[in-house]
Amino acid sequence: MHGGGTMRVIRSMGRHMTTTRRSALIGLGGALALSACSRGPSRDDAGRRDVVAAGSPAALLVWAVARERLAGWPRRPGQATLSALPAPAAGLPELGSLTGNGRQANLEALAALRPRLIIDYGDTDPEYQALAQRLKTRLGADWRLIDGALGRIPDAIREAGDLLEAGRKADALADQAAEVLEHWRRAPPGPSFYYARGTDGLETGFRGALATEVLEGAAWTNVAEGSRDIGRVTREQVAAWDPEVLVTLDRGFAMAVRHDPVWRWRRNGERRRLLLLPDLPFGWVDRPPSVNRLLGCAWLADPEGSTMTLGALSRRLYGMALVEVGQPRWIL
Amino acid sequence: MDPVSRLKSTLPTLAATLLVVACVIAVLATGPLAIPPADLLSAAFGRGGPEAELVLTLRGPRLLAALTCGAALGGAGAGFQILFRNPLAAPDLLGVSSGAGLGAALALLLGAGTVLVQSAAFAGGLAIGGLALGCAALTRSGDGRLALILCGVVAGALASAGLGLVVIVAEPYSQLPAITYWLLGSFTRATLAEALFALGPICLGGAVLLWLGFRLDVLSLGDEQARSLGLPARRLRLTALAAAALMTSAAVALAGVVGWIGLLAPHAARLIVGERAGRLIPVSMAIGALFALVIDRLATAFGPAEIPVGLLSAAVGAPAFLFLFVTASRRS
Repeated sequence: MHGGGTMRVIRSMGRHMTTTRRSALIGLGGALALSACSRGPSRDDAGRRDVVAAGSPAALLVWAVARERLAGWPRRPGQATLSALPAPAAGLPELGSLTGNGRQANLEALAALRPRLIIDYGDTDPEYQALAQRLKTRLGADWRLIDGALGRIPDAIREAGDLLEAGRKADALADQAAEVLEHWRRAPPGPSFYYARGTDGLETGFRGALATEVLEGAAWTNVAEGSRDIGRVTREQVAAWDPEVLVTLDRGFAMAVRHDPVWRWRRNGERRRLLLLPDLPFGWVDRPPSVNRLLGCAWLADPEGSTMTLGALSRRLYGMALVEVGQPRWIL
Repeated sequence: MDPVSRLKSTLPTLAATLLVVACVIAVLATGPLAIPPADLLSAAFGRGGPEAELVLTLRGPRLLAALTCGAALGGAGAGFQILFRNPLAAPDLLGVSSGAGLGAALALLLGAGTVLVQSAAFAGGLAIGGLALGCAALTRSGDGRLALILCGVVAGALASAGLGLVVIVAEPYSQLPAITYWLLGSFTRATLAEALFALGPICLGGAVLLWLGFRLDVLSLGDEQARSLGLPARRLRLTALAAAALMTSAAVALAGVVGWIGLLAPHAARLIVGERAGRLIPVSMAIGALFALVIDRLATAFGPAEIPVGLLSAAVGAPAFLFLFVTASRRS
């Protein structure tokens, strides 16, 4: 991603489907037989679910642009996420990832699906391009690798819209994404922050990391300076950095430290603020690095007056009302 | 034994303990938050400023965790090496570390908090250690040492396979990094309550090993020799192994998988005090604690990001072990 960064993959690939609806169903049946722990889409949907996402970022992009075409999840989201998303989400099978970490896809099962297109979304460096080419050859399906840079989300949405024949819907989302990013880039300077990940909060994204890009882009100052992208630090190091705000997506961590003086005490004697960002159905600034981050951008651009924008975004991205997504919370 | 001989015999233990105390003072006095030692001393007696108290709150548990884990792994390693008459025996011989890793990874996969993760790790370590001991008890092969080693390998392999499965199904953006960091080890995450909680089983196991003392020396000569002196060899061995497994489980639950200490510390101790268990075990514990303190200090010496102590213990421990091995072989 940015500056040769470490952003995770986003890729795609595809192949023109010359098969009939019947052969697609047969292929899907074969895939389901090979995928023991998955549940297939409904018979009515099966003929159209011909796009495979190479990783979780790509799955979110496809879900936002043309969710009726998504053949399955690279990694099935947790029950809370599936319950939050509209009904088709829970019926999609888990196909495994073609890129990145986690359970790898069974290539034979994927080939049996005869996908029209495989989309990857993320880093477009030569390593991922080479991987795309290898998999394209092995699977015999068309593959498209889309640049996953945060600032290029509108372009990615338009490109995916063209590929998935979702032009008008994708254009509307891309226009809104461009507007959100424009406001986000012009956000007034925010507080210094420490981004706490994990149950103990000691995993963090260092300055310039993909995980903190949304916050830093809104002129919030990441106190964690380091040469890595993600790493662990000590609680004493956090105290020495003395951030004004702790930012987390982990509700468990937020609840655990809400009254902990070690985390909440600042060196000037003030109480450190604690910001809990929503992580359902997906994180607002992180996890995975995909179009879900638009919500974080919109809120950071205007924390008080972004309700309408957030509502429209959550409908377009997920098919959910804002009240179902939740709102950022300042924990006292 | 005359007073001079008694003093000579306790001198190594005394020297190692003094060295540990000196290191404790050095570690307490240094860190990212620069606090004058005098302020820290005042804070230790309840008369320090809030910042000095905060530093003690942060460094104290970490120090305690490093000391207890190092001592536990050093003592358990000495116990295993005596019992198996094998200089390559280490606390993980019964698969305890792998079992603890599996327990922790499962808990992290289920989204458990820190206390539950540590409890699951402790239970996992004991379960796998118990499985190895139980399976070995079913065999009738000689004095049982070979059966214990083989059953330990089998139990450890099963736990490793389970761990691999957990890693595969873990969510790649949050759970997988958390599991990876946990497995690589850290003394940072320990709170005072958790460190004190781990102290219980570690002290119990250490006390049992020290109480067994000369009986372990007799056991190391073989079961027949032990029986001829009226000692119940099988029961004693089981007791010693259970004590060592208890110490290892508690240490791994607190700090993650930190290798090499249990192998290195007894070898260093043997060079100083010889083979007798009564001296070897306490000196191994002191050297283990010292080693853990040093690697914990190194873990944050190269920037704000913490280097996992499991990596450092291998990077420092492997060449140190080689040095000790060469030194010992030249002596003999």
